[in-house]
Amino acid sequence: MSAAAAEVRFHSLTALPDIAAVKQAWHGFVDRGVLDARAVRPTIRRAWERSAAARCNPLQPRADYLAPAETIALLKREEQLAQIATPFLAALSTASKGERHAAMLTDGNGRLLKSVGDEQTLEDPDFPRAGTLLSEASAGANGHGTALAEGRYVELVGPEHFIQGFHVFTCQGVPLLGPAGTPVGVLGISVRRLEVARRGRDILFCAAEAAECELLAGWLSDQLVRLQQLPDIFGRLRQDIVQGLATSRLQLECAARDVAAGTDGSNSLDAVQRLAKKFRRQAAIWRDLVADAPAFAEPISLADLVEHLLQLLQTEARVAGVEVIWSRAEKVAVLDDARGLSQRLLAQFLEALQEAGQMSTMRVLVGAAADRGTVTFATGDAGGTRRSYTTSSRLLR
Amino acid sequence: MKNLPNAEERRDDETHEVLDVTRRSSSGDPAVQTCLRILAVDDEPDFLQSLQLLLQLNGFIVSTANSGAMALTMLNDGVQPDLIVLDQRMAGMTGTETLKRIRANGCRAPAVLLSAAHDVREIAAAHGFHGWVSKPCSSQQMIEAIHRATRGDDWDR
Repeated sequence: MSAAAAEVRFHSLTALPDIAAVKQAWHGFVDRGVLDARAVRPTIRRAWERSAAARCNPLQPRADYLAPAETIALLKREEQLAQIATPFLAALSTASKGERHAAMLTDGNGRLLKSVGDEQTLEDPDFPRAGTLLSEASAGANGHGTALAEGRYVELVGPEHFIQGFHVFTCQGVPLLGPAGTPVGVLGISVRRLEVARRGRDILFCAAEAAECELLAGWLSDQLVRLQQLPDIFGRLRQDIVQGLATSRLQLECAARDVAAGTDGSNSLDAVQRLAKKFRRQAAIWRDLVADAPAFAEPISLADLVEHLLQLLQTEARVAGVEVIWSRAEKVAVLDDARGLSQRLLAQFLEALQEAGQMSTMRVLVGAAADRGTVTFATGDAGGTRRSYTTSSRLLR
Repeated sequence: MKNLPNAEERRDDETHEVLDVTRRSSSGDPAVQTCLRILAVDDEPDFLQSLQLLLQLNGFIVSTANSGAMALTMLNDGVQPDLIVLDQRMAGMTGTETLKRIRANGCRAPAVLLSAAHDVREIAAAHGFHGWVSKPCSSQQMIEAIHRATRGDDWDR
Protein backbone atom coordinates (compact mmCIF):
# COMPACT_ATOMS: atom_id res chain seq x y z
CA MET A 1 0.00 0.00 0.00
CA SER A 2 1.36 3.44 -0.87
CA ALA A 3 1.99 6.12 1.73
CA ALA A 4 -0.73 8.24 0.13
CA ALA A 5 -3.23 5.42 0.51
CA ALA A 6 -2.24 5.00 4.15
CA GLU A 7 -2.94 8.67 4.78
CA VAL A 8 -6.39 8.37 3.25
CA ARG A 9 -7.09 5.24 5.25
CA PHE A 10 -6.22 6.98 8.49
CA HIS A 11 -7.92 10.22 7.63
CA SER A 12 -10.59 11.11 10.15
CA LEU A 13 -14.06 12.07 9.08
CA THR A 14 -15.16 15.67 9.06
CA ALA A 15 -16.63 17.57 12.02
CA LEU A 16 -18.59 15.53 14.54
CA PRO A 17 -22.33 15.32 13.90
CA ASP A 18 -25.25 17.05 15.56
CA ILE A 19 -26.59 14.03 17.45
CA ALA A 20 -30.19 15.26 17.67
CA ALA A 21 -30.28 15.97 13.93
CA VAL A 22 -28.82 12.54 13.13
CA LYS A 23 -31.37 10.88 15.42
CA GLN A 24 -34.14 12.63 13.53
CA ALA A 25 -32.58 11.68 10.19
CA TRP A 26 -32.30 8.06 11.34
CA HIS A 27 -36.02 7.98 12.16
CA GLY A 28 -36.80 9.58 8.81
CA PHE A 29 -34.73 6.96 7.02
CA VAL A 30 -35.93 3.82 8.82
CA ASP A 31 -39.58 4.90 9.24
CA ARG A 32 -40.22 6.58 5.89
CA GLY A 33 -37.20 5.74 3.73
CA VAL A 34 -36.31 9.44 3.43
CA LEU A 35 -32.65 10.34 3.88
CA ASP A 36 -31.86 13.89 5.03
CA ALA A 37 -28.46 14.26 3.37
CA ARG A 38 -27.65 17.51 5.22
CA ALA A 39 -27.89 15.92 8.66
CA VAL A 40 -25.80 12.83 7.96
CA ARG A 41 -22.12 12.63 7.12
CA PRO A 42 -21.36 11.19 3.63
CA THR A 43 -19.69 8.04 4.97
CA ILE A 44 -22.66 7.32 7.19
CA ARG A 45 -25.09 8.08 4.38
CA ARG A 46 -23.41 5.50 2.17
CA ALA A 47 -23.32 3.01 5.03
CA TRP A 48 -27.06 3.43 5.76
CA GLU A 49 -27.88 2.96 2.11
CA ARG A 50 -25.79 -0.23 1.97
CA SER A 51 -27.38 -1.46 5.22
CA ALA A 52 -30.90 -0.89 3.90
CA ALA A 53 -30.04 -2.50 0.56
CA ALA A 54 -28.83 -5.59 2.50
CA ARG A 55 -32.23 -5.64 4.28
CA CYS A 56 -30.65 -5.24 7.68
CA ASN A 57 -33.27 -4.73 10.41
CA PRO A 58 -32.64 -1.32 12.07
CA LEU A 59 -34.82 -2.14 15.06
CA GLN A 60 -32.86 -5.16 16.22
CA PRO A 61 -31.43 -4.71 19.72
CA ARG A 62 -28.26 -6.65 18.98
CA ALA A 63 -26.25 -8.15 16.13
CA ASP A 64 -26.61 -11.77 15.05
CA TYR A 65 -23.91 -14.28 15.81
CA LEU A 66 -22.52 -17.57 14.58
CA ALA A 67 -23.45 -20.93 16.07
CA PRO A 68 -21.07 -22.08 18.86
CA ALA A 69 -19.35 -24.70 16.67
CA GLU A 70 -18.80 -22.15 13.89
CA THR A 71 -17.42 -19.66 16.40
CA ILE A 72 -14.94 -22.22 17.72
CA ALA A 73 -13.80 -23.00 14.17
CA LEU A 74 -13.49 -19.26 13.40
CA LEU A 75 -11.39 -18.61 16.49
CA LYS A 76 -9.12 -21.52 15.66
CA ARG A 77 -8.68 -20.31 12.08
CA GLU A 78 -7.88 -16.76 13.14
CA GLU A 79 -5.78 -17.66 16.18
CA GLN A 80 -2.64 -16.00 14.84
CA LEU A 81 -4.39 -12.70 14.07
CA ALA A 82 -5.96 -12.66 17.53
CA GLN A 83 -2.63 -13.42 19.14
CA ILE A 84 -0.91 -10.59 17.28
CA ALA A 85 -3.69 -8.13 18.09
CA THR A 86 -4.01 -9.02 21.78
CA PRO A 87 -1.40 -6.55 23.16
CA PHE A 88 -2.91 -3.79 21.04
CA LEU A 89 -6.42 -4.54 22.28
CA ALA A 90 -4.97 -4.33 25.78
CA ALA A 91 -3.35 -0.96 25.03
CA LEU A 92 -6.62 0.39 23.59
CA SER A 93 -8.47 -0.81 26.65
CA THR A 94 -5.90 0.76 28.97
CA ALA A 95 -6.34 4.10 27.20
CA SER A 96 -10.12 3.94 27.82
CA LYS A 97 -9.80 2.90 31.44
CA GLY A 98 -12.40 4.49 33.67
CA GLU A 99 -15.25 4.38 31.18
CA ARG A 100 -17.47 1.65 29.79
CA HIS A 101 -15.72 0.40 26.70
CA ALA A 102 -14.57 -2.55 24.62
CA ALA A 103 -11.60 -2.79 22.28
CA MET A 104 -12.52 -5.29 19.59
CA LEU A 105 -10.95 -7.30 16.81
CA THR A 106 -12.92 -8.67 13.88
CA ASP A 107 -11.71 -10.78 10.97
CA GLY A 108 -11.70 -9.70 7.32
CA ASN A 109 -15.44 -10.52 7.11
CA GLY A 110 -16.43 -8.53 10.18
CA ARG A 111 -16.81 -11.52 12.51
CA LEU A 112 -15.85 -10.68 16.08
CA LEU A 113 -12.79 -12.56 17.32
CA LYS A 114 -11.88 -10.92 20.58
CA SER A 115 -12.92 -8.12 22.94
CA VAL A 116 -11.06 -6.53 25.83
CA GLY A 117 -12.86 -4.05 28.05
CA ASP A 118 -14.59 -3.40 31.33
CA GLU A 119 -16.52 -6.22 32.93
CA GLN A 120 -19.91 -4.49 32.79
CA THR A 121 -19.72 -3.93 29.04
CA LEU A 122 -18.39 -7.38 28.18
CA GLU A 123 -21.01 -9.11 30.36
CA ASP A 124 -23.93 -7.19 28.85
CA PRO A 125 -25.91 -9.93 27.02
CA ASP A 126 -26.71 -7.52 24.16
CA PHE A 127 -23.08 -6.54 23.62
CA PRO A 128 -21.25 -8.31 20.76
CA ARG A 129 -19.29 -11.38 21.76
CA ALA A 130 -16.91 -13.71 19.87
CA GLY A 131 -18.67 -14.92 16.73
CA THR A 132 -20.93 -11.85 16.42
CA LEU A 133 -21.46 -10.80 12.81
CA LEU A 134 -20.50 -7.15 12.43
CA SER A 135 -20.41 -6.90 8.66
CA GLU A 136 -22.72 -4.16 7.37
CA ALA A 137 -24.96 -6.76 5.75
CA SER A 138 -25.59 -8.32 9.19
CA ALA A 139 -25.30 -5.45 11.66
CA GLY A 140 -25.73 -2.36 9.49
CA ALA A 141 -23.45 0.66 9.77
CA ASN A 142 -20.97 0.07 12.61
CA GLY A 143 -17.31 0.63 13.42
CA HIS A 144 -16.18 -2.71 12.00
CA GLY A 145 -18.43 -3.48 9.05
CA THR A 146 -18.32 0.09 7.77
CA ALA A 147 -14.52 0.28 8.14
CA LEU A 148 -14.34 -2.85 5.95
CA ALA A 149 -16.85 -1.52 3.42
CA GLU A 150 -15.13 1.88 3.18
CA GLY A 151 -11.62 0.44 3.40
CA ARG A 152 -10.52 3.06 5.92
CA TYR A 153 -10.91 4.47 9.40
CA VAL A 154 -14.48 5.27 10.40
CA GLU A 155 -16.15 6.67 13.48
CA LEU A 156 -19.85 6.35 14.25
CA VAL A 157 -21.45 8.32 17.02
CA GLY A 158 -24.70 7.04 18.61
CA PRO A 159 -27.56 7.13 16.07
CA GLU A 160 -25.14 7.00 13.15
CA HIS A 161 -25.18 3.24 13.80
CA PHE A 162 -27.86 1.59 11.71
CA ILE A 163 -29.28 -0.75 14.31
CA GLN A 164 -30.91 0.74 17.36
CA GLY A 165 -29.08 -1.53 19.79
CA PHE A 166 -25.82 0.29 19.06
CA HIS A 167 -27.16 3.83 19.49
CA VAL A 168 -25.63 4.27 22.95
CA PHE A 169 -22.10 3.73 21.65
CA THR A 170 -19.43 5.68 19.83
CA CYS A 171 -17.42 3.26 17.74
CA GLN A 172 -14.22 3.63 15.76
CA GLY A 173 -12.59 1.07 13.51
CA VAL A 174 -9.51 0.79 11.30
CA PRO A 175 -9.04 -2.01 8.77
CA LEU A 176 -5.86 -4.03 9.32
CA LEU A 177 -3.98 -4.80 6.14
CA GLY A 178 -2.02 -8.02 5.87
CA PRO A 179 1.39 -8.35 4.19
CA ALA A 180 -0.34 -8.72 0.80
CA GLY A 181 -2.03 -5.33 1.28
CA THR A 182 -5.55 -6.71 1.66
CA PRO A 183 -7.76 -6.31 4.77
CA VAL A 184 -7.41 -9.20 7.21
CA GLY A 185 -9.43 -7.66 10.02
CA VAL A 186 -10.54 -4.53 11.84
CA LEU A 187 -9.25 -3.12 15.09
CA GLY A 188 -11.81 -0.98 16.85
CA ILE A 189 -12.87 0.64 20.08
CA SER A 190 -16.41 1.22 21.34
CA VAL A 191 -17.21 3.50 24.25
CA ARG A 192 -20.56 4.14 25.89
CA ARG A 193 -20.34 7.91 25.37
CA LEU A 194 -21.49 10.01 22.45
CA GLU A 195 -18.25 11.68 21.44
CA VAL A 196 -14.90 10.76 19.91
CA ALA A 197 -11.87 11.32 22.10
CA ARG A 198 -9.01 12.58 19.94
CA ARG A 199 -6.33 10.78 21.96
CA GLY A 200 -8.27 7.53 21.77
CA ARG A 201 -8.34 7.91 18.02
CA ASP A 202 -4.59 8.54 17.88
CA ILE A 203 -3.97 5.42 19.96
CA LEU A 204 -6.21 3.40 17.63
CA PHE A 205 -4.25 4.57 14.57
CA CYS A 206 -0.96 3.69 16.23
CA ALA A 207 -2.22 0.33 17.44
CA ALA A 208 -3.47 -0.55 13.96
CA GLU A 209 -0.19 0.53 12.41
CA ALA A 210 1.82 -1.49 14.95
CA ALA A 211 -0.42 -4.55 14.51
CA GLU A 212 0.09 -4.42 10.74
CA CYS A 213 3.85 -4.22 11.28
CA GLU A 214 3.67 -7.33 13.43
CA LEU A 215 1.71 -9.15 10.75
CA LEU A 216 4.49 -8.18 8.35
CA ALA A 217 7.14 -9.33 10.84
CA GLY A 218 5.37 -12.69 11.00
CA TRP A 219 5.53 -12.85 7.22
CA LEU A 220 9.29 -12.14 7.30
CA SER A 221 9.75 -15.03 9.74
CA ASP A 222 7.72 -17.32 7.52
CA GLN A 223 9.92 -16.36 4.57
CA LEU A 224 13.00 -17.18 6.60
CA VAL A 225 11.64 -20.64 7.33
CA ARG A 226 10.47 -21.14 3.73
CA LEU A 227 13.76 -20.04 2.16
CA GLN A 228 15.97 -22.22 4.30
CA GLN A 229 19.03 -21.73 2.10
CA LEU A 230 19.14 -18.01 2.90
CA PRO A 231 22.46 -16.89 4.39
CA ASP A 232 22.49 -16.20 8.16
CA ILE A 233 22.71 -12.47 7.58
CA PHE A 234 19.03 -12.38 6.63
CA GLY A 235 18.07 -13.91 9.97
CA ARG A 236 20.15 -11.30 11.78
CA LEU A 237 18.70 -8.46 9.71
CA ARG A 238 15.19 -9.70 10.46
CA GLN A 239 16.03 -9.53 14.16
CA ASP A 240 17.28 -5.97 13.75
CA ILE A 241 14.10 -4.95 11.96
CA VAL A 242 11.97 -6.56 14.67
CA GLN A 243 13.89 -4.70 17.38
CA GLY A 244 12.19 -1.51 16.23
CA LEU A 245 8.81 -3.18 16.74
CA ALA A 246 9.80 -4.27 20.22
CA THR A 247 10.43 -0.65 21.12
CA SER A 248 7.27 0.50 19.41
CA ARG A 249 5.11 -1.98 21.31
CA LEU A 250 6.38 -0.82 24.70
CA GLN A 251 6.02 2.83 23.74
CA LEU A 252 2.42 2.23 22.73
CA GLU A 253 1.82 0.79 26.19
CA CYS A 254 3.39 3.88 27.75
CA ALA A 255 1.21 6.14 25.58
CA ALA A 256 -1.94 4.20 26.53
CA ARG A 257 -1.15 4.67 30.21
CA ASP A 258 -0.49 8.37 29.66
CA VAL A 259 -3.83 8.80 27.90
CA ALA A 260 -5.65 6.90 30.65
CA ALA A 261 -3.99 9.14 33.24
CA GLY A 262 -5.02 12.24 31.30
CA THR A 263 -1.45 13.19 30.48
CA ASP A 264 -0.01 13.87 27.06
CA GLY A 265 1.15 10.70 25.35
CA SER A 266 1.92 12.39 22.06
CA ASN A 267 5.69 11.85 22.25
CA SER A 268 5.25 8.12 22.62
CA LEU A 269 2.62 8.04 19.88
CA ASP A 270 4.87 9.98 17.52
CA ALA A 271 7.69 7.55 18.28
CA VAL A 272 5.40 4.58 17.55
CA GLN A 273 4.48 6.02 14.16
CA ARG A 274 8.09 6.87 13.34
CA LEU A 275 9.19 3.34 14.24
CA ALA A 276 6.37 1.84 12.20
CA LYS A 277 7.45 3.82 9.13
CA LYS A 278 11.06 2.78 9.61
CA PHE A 279 9.99 -0.83 10.06
CA ARG A 280 7.95 -0.83 6.85
CA ARG A 281 10.82 0.70 4.88
CA GLN A 282 13.33 -1.80 6.22
CA ALA A 283 10.95 -4.72 5.77
CA ALA A 284 10.47 -3.66 2.14
CA ILE A 285 14.24 -3.70 1.56
CA TRP A 286 14.56 -7.08 3.25
CA ARG A 287 11.71 -8.36 1.11
CA ASP A 288 13.43 -7.10 -2.05
CA LEU A 289 16.70 -8.70 -1.03
CA VAL A 290 15.21 -12.16 -0.62
CA ALA A 291 12.67 -11.96 -3.43
CA ASP A 292 13.06 -14.23 -6.42
CA ALA A 293 11.11 -11.96 -8.76
CA PRO A 294 12.47 -11.50 -12.30
CA ALA A 295 15.01 -8.72 -12.68
CA PHE A 296 14.31 -5.60 -14.71
CA ALA A 297 16.27 -2.38 -15.15
CA GLU A 298 14.77 0.76 -13.66
CA PRO A 299 15.95 4.26 -12.71
CA ILE A 300 17.44 4.21 -9.22
CA SER A 301 18.70 6.99 -6.96
CA LEU A 302 21.97 5.52 -5.67
CA ALA A 303 22.05 7.80 -2.62
CA ASP A 304 18.53 6.77 -1.55
CA LEU A 305 19.23 3.09 -2.06
CA VAL A 306 22.50 3.25 -0.12
CA GLU A 307 20.94 5.25 2.69
CA HIS A 308 18.09 2.77 3.16
CA LEU A 309 20.47 -0.15 3.01
CA LEU A 310 22.77 1.42 5.57
CA GLN A 311 19.83 2.00 7.91
CA LEU A 312 19.05 -1.68 7.66
CA LEU A 313 22.70 -2.62 8.28
CA GLN A 314 23.26 -0.18 11.13
CA THR A 315 23.05 -2.78 13.89
CA GLU A 316 25.13 -5.31 11.96
CA ALA A 317 27.91 -2.71 11.76
CA ARG A 318 27.50 -1.70 15.41
CA VAL A 319 27.70 -5.32 16.57
CA ALA A 320 30.81 -5.79 14.41
CA GLY A 321 32.33 -2.73 16.10
CA VAL A 322 32.69 -0.80 12.85
CA GLU A 323 31.79 2.86 12.55
CA VAL A 324 30.18 3.56 9.19
CA ILE A 325 30.79 7.06 7.85
CA TRP A 326 28.32 8.14 5.25
CA SER A 327 27.75 11.62 3.99
CA ARG A 328 24.68 11.78 1.84
CA ALA A 329 25.92 12.31 -1.71
CA GLU A 330 24.59 14.43 -4.51
CA LYS A 331 22.00 12.81 -6.70
CA VAL A 332 23.43 10.05 -8.85
CA ALA A 333 20.78 8.25 -10.87
CA VAL A 334 21.57 4.91 -12.48
CA LEU A 335 19.72 2.37 -14.57
CA ASP A 336 19.90 -1.06 -12.96
CA ASP A 337 17.95 -3.92 -11.46
CA ALA A 338 17.18 -2.63 -7.94
CA ARG A 339 17.12 -6.06 -6.35
CA GLY A 340 20.33 -7.23 -8.01
CA LEU A 341 22.07 -3.98 -7.15
CA SER A 342 20.91 -4.17 -3.51
CA GLN A 343 22.20 -7.73 -3.28
CA ARG A 344 25.58 -6.73 -4.74
CA LEU A 345 25.83 -3.80 -2.35
CA LEU A 346 24.91 -6.02 0.61
CA ALA A 347 27.57 -8.58 -0.35
CA GLN A 348 30.24 -5.89 -0.68
CA PHE A 349 29.22 -4.18 2.54
CA LEU A 350 29.53 -7.47 4.44
CA GLU A 351 32.89 -8.19 2.86
CA ALA A 352 34.13 -4.73 3.77
CA LEU A 353 32.76 -5.12 7.30
CA GLN A 354 34.70 -8.33 7.77
CA GLU A 355 37.84 -6.73 6.38
CA ALA A 356 37.44 -3.64 8.57
CA GLY A 357 37.44 -5.54 11.87
CA GLN A 358 36.60 -4.29 15.37
CA MET A 359 37.10 -0.65 16.34
CA SER A 360 37.62 0.57 12.80
CA THR A 361 35.78 2.69 10.28
CA MET A 362 34.20 2.18 6.89
CA ARG A 363 33.57 5.09 4.55
CA VAL A 364 30.72 4.85 2.08
CA LEU A 365 31.01 6.97 -1.04
CA VAL A 366 28.55 7.45 -3.87
CA GLY A 367 29.85 9.06 -7.05
CA ALA A 368 29.92 9.10 -10.82
CA ALA A 369 32.81 8.34 -13.15
CA ALA A 370 32.52 8.39 -16.95
CA ASP A 371 29.22 6.65 -17.73
CA ARG A 372 29.04 4.71 -14.44
CA GLY A 373 27.50 5.51 -11.08
CA THR A 374 29.57 4.00 -8.26
CA VAL A 375 29.25 3.00 -4.62
CA THR A 376 32.48 2.40 -2.73
CA PHE A 377 32.94 0.86 0.70
CA ALA A 378 36.42 1.83 1.88
CA THR A 379 37.92 0.36 5.04
CA GLY A 380 40.80 1.88 6.93
CA ASP A 381 41.63 4.32 9.67
CA ALA A 382 42.92 7.85 10.01
CA GLY A 383 46.09 6.73 8.20
CA GLY A 384 44.20 6.10 4.97
CA THR A 385 42.20 3.57 3.04
CA ARG A 386 43.21 -0.04 3.52
CA ARG A 387 40.92 -1.61 1.00
CA SER A 388 37.94 -0.54 -1.05
CA TYR A 389 35.04 -2.36 -2.69
CA THR A 390 33.22 -0.73 -5.57
CA THR A 391 29.96 -1.53 -7.32
CA SER A 392 28.97 0.32 -10.45
CA SER A 393 25.88 0.70 -12.59
CA ARG A 394 25.09 2.50 -15.83
CA LEU A 395 24.67 6.19 -15.21
CA LEU A 396 21.31 7.66 -16.15
CA ARG A 397 21.73 11.08 -17.72
CA MET B 1 15.52 -1.86 53.92
CA LYS B 2 18.40 -3.48 55.75
CA ASN B 3 20.46 -6.67 55.70
CA LEU B 4 18.91 -7.87 52.48
CA PRO B 5 20.45 -11.14 51.40
CA ASN B 6 22.02 -10.95 47.98
CA ALA B 7 21.10 -13.30 45.16
CA GLU B 8 23.95 -15.70 45.92
CA GLU B 9 22.88 -16.08 49.51
CA ARG B 10 19.27 -16.70 48.62
CA ARG B 11 19.76 -19.44 46.08
CA ASP B 12 22.40 -21.83 44.92
CA ASP B 13 23.30 -22.86 41.39
CA GLU B 14 20.73 -25.53 40.89
CA THR B 15 17.82 -24.46 43.06
CA HIS B 16 15.39 -21.83 41.92
CA GLU B 17 13.98 -19.95 44.81
CA VAL B 18 10.33 -19.03 44.62
CA LEU B 19 10.04 -15.28 44.33
CA ASP B 20 7.31 -12.89 43.36
CA VAL B 21 7.33 -9.23 42.38
CA THR B 22 7.66 -8.72 46.09
CA ARG B 23 9.92 -10.85 48.24
CA ARG B 24 10.24 -11.37 51.93
CA SER B 25 12.79 -9.41 53.84
CA SER B 26 15.61 -11.13 55.68
CA SER B 27 13.74 -10.56 58.94
CA GLY B 28 11.51 -13.45 57.91
CA ASP B 29 8.40 -11.42 58.62
CA PRO B 30 6.00 -12.17 55.75
CA ALA B 31 4.36 -8.79 56.27
CA VAL B 32 7.60 -7.00 55.49
CA GLN B 33 8.14 -7.28 51.79
CA THR B 34 10.42 -5.51 49.35
CA CYS B 35 10.27 -5.22 45.58
CA LEU B 36 12.25 -7.37 43.17
CA ARG B 37 15.31 -5.63 41.82
CA ILE B 38 15.85 -6.10 38.09
CA LEU B 39 18.94 -5.27 36.06
CA ALA B 40 17.86 -4.80 32.42
CA VAL B 41 20.59 -4.81 29.77
CA ASP B 42 19.94 -3.73 26.17
CA ASP B 43 21.79 -1.46 23.75
CA GLU B 44 18.59 0.01 22.33
CA PRO B 45 18.03 3.09 24.52
CA ASP B 46 14.36 3.70 23.69
CA PHE B 47 13.46 0.09 24.32
CA LEU B 48 15.37 0.06 27.59
CA GLN B 49 13.76 3.27 28.80
CA SER B 50 10.22 2.07 28.03
CA LEU B 51 10.90 -1.31 29.62
CA GLN B 52 12.25 0.35 32.75
CA LEU B 53 9.22 2.63 33.03
CA LEU B 54 6.69 -0.16 32.54
CA LEU B 55 8.40 -2.52 34.98
CA GLN B 56 8.64 0.26 37.56
CA LEU B 57 4.93 0.97 37.15
CA ASN B 58 4.39 -2.69 38.00
CA GLY B 59 6.33 -2.45 41.22
CA PHE B 60 9.82 -3.55 40.22
CA ILE B 61 13.00 -1.67 41.05
CA VAL B 62 14.86 -1.42 37.77
CA SER B 63 18.47 -0.57 37.00
CA THR B 64 19.58 -0.41 33.39
CA ALA B 65 22.80 -0.96 31.47
CA ASN B 66 23.27 -0.24 27.78
CA SER B 67 25.93 -2.91 27.24
CA GLY B 68 27.24 -6.13 28.68
CA ALA B 69 30.38 -4.32 29.81
CA MET B 70 28.34 -1.73 31.68
CA ALA B 71 26.31 -4.47 33.38
CA LEU B 72 29.50 -6.16 34.54
CA THR B 73 30.80 -2.87 35.91
CA MET B 74 27.56 -2.24 37.77
CA LEU B 75 27.65 -5.70 39.30
CA ASN B 76 31.28 -5.25 40.31
CA ASP B 77 30.33 -1.91 41.84
CA GLY B 78 27.85 -3.59 44.15
CA VAL B 79 24.52 -3.61 42.30
CA GLN B 80 22.74 -6.74 43.52
CA PRO B 81 19.79 -7.58 41.29
CA ASP B 82 17.34 -10.35 42.05
CA LEU B 83 17.08 -11.01 38.32
CA ILE B 84 18.94 -9.94 35.19
CA VAL B 85 17.27 -9.38 31.81
CA LEU B 86 19.79 -9.58 28.96
CA ASP B 87 19.31 -8.74 25.31
CA GLN B 88 21.17 -11.14 23.04
CA ARG B 89 22.21 -9.03 20.06
CA MET B 90 24.31 -6.22 21.52
CA ALA B 91 27.43 -4.46 20.36
CA GLY B 92 30.60 -5.53 22.14
CA MET B 93 29.30 -8.49 24.09
CA THR B 94 26.24 -10.60 23.34
CA GLY B 95 23.77 -11.50 26.07
CA THR B 96 25.10 -15.05 26.32
CA GLU B 97 28.71 -13.82 26.56
CA THR B 98 27.68 -11.32 29.20
CA LEU B 99 25.98 -14.00 31.27
CA LYS B 100 29.08 -16.18 31.06
CA ARG B 101 31.18 -13.32 32.44
CA ILE B 102 28.59 -12.55 35.09
CA ARG B 103 28.67 -16.15 36.29
CA ALA B 104 32.48 -16.19 36.19
CA ASN B 105 32.38 -13.19 38.53
CA GLY B 106 30.25 -15.14 40.97
CA CYS B 107 26.82 -13.56 40.51
CA ARG B 108 24.09 -16.21 40.58
CA ALA B 109 20.99 -14.07 40.06
CA PRO B 110 18.55 -15.75 37.67
CA ALA B 111 18.73 -14.39 34.12
CA VAL B 112 16.18 -14.01 31.34
CA LEU B 113 17.27 -13.82 27.70
CA LEU B 114 15.56 -11.30 25.45
CA SER B 115 15.88 -11.76 21.70
CA ALA B 116 14.12 -11.48 18.35
CA ALA B 117 15.85 -14.67 17.17
CA HIS B 118 13.39 -17.41 16.28
CA ASP B 119 15.42 -19.90 18.34
CA VAL B 120 15.58 -17.73 21.47
CA ARG B 121 14.37 -20.59 23.66
CA GLU B 122 17.14 -22.93 22.47
CA ILE B 123 19.81 -20.24 22.89
CA ALA B 124 18.57 -19.48 26.40
CA ALA B 125 18.49 -23.15 27.38
CA ALA B 126 21.95 -23.81 25.99
CA HIS B 127 23.54 -20.93 27.91
CA GLY B 128 22.12 -21.36 31.38
CA PHE B 129 19.38 -18.75 31.34
CA HIS B 130 16.40 -19.23 33.64
CA GLY B 131 13.92 -17.93 31.11
CA TRP B 132 13.43 -16.22 27.79
CA VAL B 133 11.26 -13.62 26.11
CA SER B 134 10.78 -13.32 22.40
CA LYS B 135 10.88 -9.78 20.99
CA PRO B 136 8.62 -7.97 20.35
CA CYS B 137 6.99 -8.44 23.74
CA SER B 138 4.53 -6.61 25.93
CA SER B 139 5.40 -5.60 29.49
CA GLN B 140 2.95 -8.27 30.64
CA GLN B 141 4.88 -10.98 28.79
CA MET B 142 8.08 -9.68 30.33
CA ILE B 143 6.58 -9.73 33.82
CA GLU B 144 5.29 -13.27 33.31
CA ALA B 145 8.76 -14.36 32.18
CA ILE B 146 10.29 -12.75 35.27
CA HIS B 147 7.82 -14.60 37.49
CA ARG B 148 8.50 -17.90 35.75
CA ALA B 149 12.26 -17.43 35.92
CA THR B 150 12.19 -16.62 39.60
CA ARG B 151 10.01 -19.68 40.17
CA GLY B 152 12.28 -21.70 37.91
CA ASP B 153 9.51 -23.07 35.70
CA ASP B 154 10.14 -21.32 32.37
CA TRP B 155 11.24 -24.52 30.70
CA ASP B 156 7.82 -26.09 31.16
CA ARG B 157 6.46 -23.87 28.39
